[in-house]
Amino acid sequence: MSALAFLTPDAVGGAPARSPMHRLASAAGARARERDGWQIASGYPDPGVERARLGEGVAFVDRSSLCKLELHAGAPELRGVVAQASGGVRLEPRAAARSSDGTWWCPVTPSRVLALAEPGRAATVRAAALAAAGGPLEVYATVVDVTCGLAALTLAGPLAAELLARFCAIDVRPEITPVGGFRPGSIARTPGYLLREREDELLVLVGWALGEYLWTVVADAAERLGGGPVGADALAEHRERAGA
Amino acid sequence: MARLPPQPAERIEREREISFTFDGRVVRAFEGDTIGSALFAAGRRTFSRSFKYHRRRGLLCCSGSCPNCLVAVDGAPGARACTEPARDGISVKHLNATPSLELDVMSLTDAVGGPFTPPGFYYRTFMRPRRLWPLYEWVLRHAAGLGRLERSRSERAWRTEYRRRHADVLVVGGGHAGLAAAIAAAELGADVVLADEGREPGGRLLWEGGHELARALAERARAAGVEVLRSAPALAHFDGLVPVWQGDTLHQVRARLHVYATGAIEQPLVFERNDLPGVMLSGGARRLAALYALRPGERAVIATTCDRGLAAALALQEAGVEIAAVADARGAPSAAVAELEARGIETLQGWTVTAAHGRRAVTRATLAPLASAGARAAEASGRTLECDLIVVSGGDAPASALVAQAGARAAYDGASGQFVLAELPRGVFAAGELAGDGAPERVAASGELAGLEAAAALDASLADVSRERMSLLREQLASAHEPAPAGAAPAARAHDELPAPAHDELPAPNGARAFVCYCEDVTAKDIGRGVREGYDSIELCKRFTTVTMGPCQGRMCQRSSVGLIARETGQELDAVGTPTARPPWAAVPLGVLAGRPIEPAKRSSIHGRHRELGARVQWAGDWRRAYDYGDPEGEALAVHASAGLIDVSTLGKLLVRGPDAGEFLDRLYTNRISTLKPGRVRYGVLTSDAGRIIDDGTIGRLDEATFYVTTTSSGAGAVEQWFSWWLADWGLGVHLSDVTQALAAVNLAGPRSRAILSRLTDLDCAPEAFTYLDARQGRVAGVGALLLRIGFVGELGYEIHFPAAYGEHVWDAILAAGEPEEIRPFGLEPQRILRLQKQHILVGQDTDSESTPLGAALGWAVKLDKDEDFIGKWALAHTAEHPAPSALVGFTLPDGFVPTEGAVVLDGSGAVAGQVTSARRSRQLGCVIGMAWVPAALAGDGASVTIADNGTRVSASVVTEPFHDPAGELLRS
Amino acid sequence: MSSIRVVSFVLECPFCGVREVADFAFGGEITPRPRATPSLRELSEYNYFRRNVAGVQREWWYHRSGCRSWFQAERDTRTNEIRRVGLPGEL
Repeated sequence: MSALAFLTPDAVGGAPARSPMHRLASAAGARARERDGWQIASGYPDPGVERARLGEGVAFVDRSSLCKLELHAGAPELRGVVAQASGGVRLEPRAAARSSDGTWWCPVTPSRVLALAEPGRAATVRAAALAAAGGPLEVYATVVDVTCGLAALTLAGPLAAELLARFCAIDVRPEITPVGGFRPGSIARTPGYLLREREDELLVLVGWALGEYLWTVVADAAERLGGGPVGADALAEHRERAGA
Repeated sequence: MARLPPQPAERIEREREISFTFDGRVVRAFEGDTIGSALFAAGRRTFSRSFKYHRRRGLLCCSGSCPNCLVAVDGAPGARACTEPARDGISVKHLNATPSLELDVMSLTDAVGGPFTPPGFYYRTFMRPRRLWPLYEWVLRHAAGLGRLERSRSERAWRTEYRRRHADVLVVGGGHAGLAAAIAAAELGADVVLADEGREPGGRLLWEGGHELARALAERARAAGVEVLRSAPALAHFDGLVPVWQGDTLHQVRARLHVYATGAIEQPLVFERNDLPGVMLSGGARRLAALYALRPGERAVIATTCDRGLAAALALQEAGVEIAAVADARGAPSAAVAELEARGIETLQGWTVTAAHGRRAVTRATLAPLASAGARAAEASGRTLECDLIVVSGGDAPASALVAQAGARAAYDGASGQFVLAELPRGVFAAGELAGDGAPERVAASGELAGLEAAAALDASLADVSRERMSLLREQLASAHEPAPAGAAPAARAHDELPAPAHDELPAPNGARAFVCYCEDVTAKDIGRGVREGYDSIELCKRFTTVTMGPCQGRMCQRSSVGLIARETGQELDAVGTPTARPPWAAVPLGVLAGRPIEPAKRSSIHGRHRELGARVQWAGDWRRAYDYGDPEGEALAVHASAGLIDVSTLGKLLVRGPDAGEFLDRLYTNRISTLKPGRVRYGVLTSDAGRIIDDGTIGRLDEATFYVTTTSSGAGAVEQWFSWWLADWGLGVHLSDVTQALAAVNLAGPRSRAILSRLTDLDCAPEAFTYLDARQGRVAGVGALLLRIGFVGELGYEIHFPAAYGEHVWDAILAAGEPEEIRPFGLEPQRILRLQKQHILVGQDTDSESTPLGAALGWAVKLDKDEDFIGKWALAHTAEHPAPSALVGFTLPDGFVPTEGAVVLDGSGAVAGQVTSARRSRQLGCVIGMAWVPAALAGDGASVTIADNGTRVSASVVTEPFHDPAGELLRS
Repeated sequence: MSSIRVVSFVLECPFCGVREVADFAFGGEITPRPRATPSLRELSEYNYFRRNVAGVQREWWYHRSGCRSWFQAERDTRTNEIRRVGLPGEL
């Protein structure tokens, strides 16, 4: 699989990987921190505002540093590849499943799966996927690192679905798109994927080159709803509170 | 004007005073007032000037249906004063009158123009002399229209929003039936949205004594989880998508099932000067009294064709209006009449109103028996009464436009004198007045049944739950259609129990001031004229007279225009039919439909740096690209002299991997790809099966099974679509992945590029180790990259593809490493100069949808001797046997004149025989160079062609080899 | 999903489900490519001639904004009603 190694963001010598939204995040007041090889918007000046957005209104968080892998294989082979790489995940159509390390395995088609892993897990998940795919030629499977192919934003908070409805026609009512629901479709008039990660968290992914555009659209719509950007740390805290 | 004492259902909050200005004067109002009610309270009777004749118009419907009270609010024209809430501090201005509402110079058209300005007059009158048309047009354009938009408004001063809403059930109309339907469906667990035009749901309950019930129902609906959208008219039904306009938001509601409970619209009567301020629909008069505690007049004459007018007489009398007389067009005595007589109100059965009188507003009304309703006969047998208010009710027209757009069919029902719903499409339900079930004893059952039926259609288990209830309701509705017991009070009675007079029993107004259409000033006479001129169907007459086409969208004029056409043509109403109900059902600002301006823009991950370097950024397809950094020619020279760096991240990039990848590409490209060795790159052209060029690019083989394909920037999407289409058809063992945006790409080019690259990578860059058309992987500035040694710009060069997250880092590192060589960033424009020097074609610029590779000098890339079939092979084989009449060649001109791209090429006889596709000045070559399609006979080196460009003719010399480095020695160096 | 019938605004992708029609690219009538070298007439008919029926037509659609898969649909061109969707070979 070394032929596709150049797609993987694993620079040596200290160059940080940057989200396509990093300039807009900085302009909005984000603190930049380096984590797992990425320059991350960890927080914004007022943590109280961040908490309020997440708890009572709506917030958006740059998640472009998520590791994203595209797995291709024939439908029966792909089931095996995913099961092996994820430690036993079985996929149903239109529903993503989570492996024990928190990685999402999202079925795009029966012969294509998108895996989403936290940046800290990227190397492990990538290695597992490559190992599972590296069978004999008859089982031909391909793993493409599309980490830098997809910009990602989490819309979080009680008004997350309302925010999405300002720029996306996908039906995310909980009975239609429950947690784990995975919906490829047009987002802000551009090809995208949508994943409901939690009750109040919608992850949207669009092309990397459209990251700045997506931020602009989402920020504009969020402002109307009293929302705005929050940092990765605020989202992590919010998840802990919700989980507790 | 003093308000009435507190009314039970009043909406105003008397302790909260606010004020706004109308035409600069302060108007006092209460919180809860509309602009219209506040102005009426302040004594205003003229609210607007009409569209064509600039006649005074006053409050008519008070429900946002008619056009009579259109005003501009804070600079935005088109608000209806009667429904627009009065807000503290707003500035309200009149429309369509100069200099003022009271003194409008354009009202001269009314005084003198009437006979000369029938419908269509401007088409005929201003035909000649033709040379004066621009003047006519200027005058007409300035005379037409109702308001002016402010020219200077910042983009975001008034922003609008789309909001997508999915639902199980959408209920349109929040009257009694709509609320009952929404409650029934929601209480069974359906996800229900209720859209209502009013400020609060309840419909006519609110002003007809049922306001407490309305509020209780609204509360119950909210408790059941119904999302209630107030002041939110539904605009259309587009195959299941219903746009609902609410303020600055357009809700795009997509529900699985639809309940329409849009009610009915009270129709005016057509009589002489029926547009005079003081003529008011019964519903409008009652709303003013009940909701805003305003006495609509001191002394009223009431003319009606149904019980609605009789009920209004009672209600208005209670509000302190003296009722001079009631003219009921129906001949048979109604039970309600006894009640009126008991209250001392004179009722004239079989009479109607034939004229209104007064200069600025109503001062008198003429009533006459129906049989004698001609103007002269009325004078003889009629009575003229002093009054300042004429309350009219011409019956109800079901508001069926939306349900008709949903696919419902209506048919004329002679008994009720109405068009009634005859057939509903699957998934669409109707309730309440719209369904003919508007009577108080039926309306709740009708709504509830529609709600339960919708829920049952949603989920079969819900049908089981409510089966008994539904049959009970059906029985109830069936029995309620029997005549009601005699003696019931009029207010509690159905309004349509007595048959309304047939349209041909009503008087035949033919006066020039009997208005059918208030929006466009169409009179009864105009309709007659239209029919006599041959526009004798409703659709033709509508287009000729513009009746039903104004801001009211036919709400006020549909019934009477159909009736008049029927009379004029001698047809029955059902033969005339109704005009097609077209969106939008409510007048809506265009800005609301436009939504937010969001235009997807792709930006390279290096884009921020380009801006910092002063790039001129322009659109290139859907990308924002750096065209140049201020000095395109200088940037191009730097590439020849030393080194340049261009961002080519926009190139399409596809991974094609699998056991059949080579075969797949062989079938798509005109040349052989499967013979490519790993680590090598080849140019390829894609054609359609008609042999026309689709796109071009490079194909690199990364290993036995993996190919890396680049496409043109603008062709990336189309090529991916093309590849995946054939893959779906052929079912080969190939995995296709579009990595266009995952990878940044830069082209480091120029004689010094090798030296610069060597400082950043451990790859062996020696000419013999990394040769022309090699593909290598290595780290550049610490970042894993794929390097392709190709030369689009004609010098030694490396295309470096690497993860987009490092775009700025790698860009910065290369520029820093190249500092000693004075490396310069270059943009798209210098790249175009450089590639033109090499005669490298740009697909879409130098080719069009008819170009074949054989004509475009790419014959070397077409391998007709390939054994296997490929897309385009058959057509290209045919083309090869029949030489093309024209060919794409290079040309040079002396330095100076640069022909426009698109300038024509002339043949020896001076006929157009081709065109220039590209032309640039090249400082490197010291001349002007270009490419052009020329006749095949002139496609040889040294031939001379004439280029004609906007009157300039120049003679160009044909060159078929690259202008720069024709042998490609620099590329391979 | 059976209540979604009309193509004007929604279409059902076999993989993703129902989406707005703007999500999709239209690929035209299904016109099988000649298997062997065609005559010029056959080639022209394949390239340029379409049946353009007023009735049920089999056609290609591409879920451009979603899973990026091609599929086929049977659509009544008079009503825009979609009868069936499926992958090549399924219809």
